[in-house]
Amino acid sequence: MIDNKILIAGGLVIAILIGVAAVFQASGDPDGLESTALVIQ
Amino acid sequence: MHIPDAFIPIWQGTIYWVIALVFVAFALKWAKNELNEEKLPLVAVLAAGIFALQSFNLPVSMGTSGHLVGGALVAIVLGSPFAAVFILTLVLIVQGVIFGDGGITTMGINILNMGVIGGFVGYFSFRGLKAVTGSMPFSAFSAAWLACFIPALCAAVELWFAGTFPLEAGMFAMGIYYAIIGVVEGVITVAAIYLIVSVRPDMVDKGVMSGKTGAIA
Repeated sequence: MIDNKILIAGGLVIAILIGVAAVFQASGDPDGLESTALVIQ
Repeated sequence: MHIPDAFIPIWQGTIYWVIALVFVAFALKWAKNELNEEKLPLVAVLAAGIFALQSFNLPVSMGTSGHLVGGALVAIVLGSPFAAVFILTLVLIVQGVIFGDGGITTMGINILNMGVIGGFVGYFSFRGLKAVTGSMPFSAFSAAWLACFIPALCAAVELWFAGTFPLEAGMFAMGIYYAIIGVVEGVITVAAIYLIVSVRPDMVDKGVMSGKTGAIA
């Protein structure tokens, strides 16, 4: 088991990595609610 | 699933705000009673992780995209639907106020859909499925899928009531899109639960990996 400090640091690093690196894999398509609005209108 | 400003009338947004605030009050009570030095780091990490995961959309085919909502994940891991209300409210406040994701007048309806409905559907469907099947991955995947799909149908009804979408077309389109998006939600939820259990099993609700479940509030 890892301690609290490592958990928080590791969690924040993962969150930052997702927020920064994963943006390059993000879709330009509208999300479900926006897609529905576009389809219906 | 974030409903932006102007998708619903102000008076309806006010009603959803009032309903949401009732649940937020219960969530704050949960936080006061349940949050301690042991659980606080997990809450902080979950809030940061869900904020990050909601900040970008993954392609899910049919010209649409989706992201993790997180209500089921939080409720399952922390063992209470009010945990989902608490964390999703924090995330939605930051998104709505600073990042323009969702809205101010629609924050109540978004808390209601993603935090309250998502959290309660996710938690109780997980408990029910886990009790019947005994399988954590199946139960968590199904609960996360339901916690994505049912709030989407609720949003379709709310948007119909607001005069934004016709009911049948709205529910059909939202249902199809979020049935697909829910699969992404389910996979990420199961993976996240395994990750958290592997590093800090003591922080996770006992009912996640065993046959027992924690208190509701």
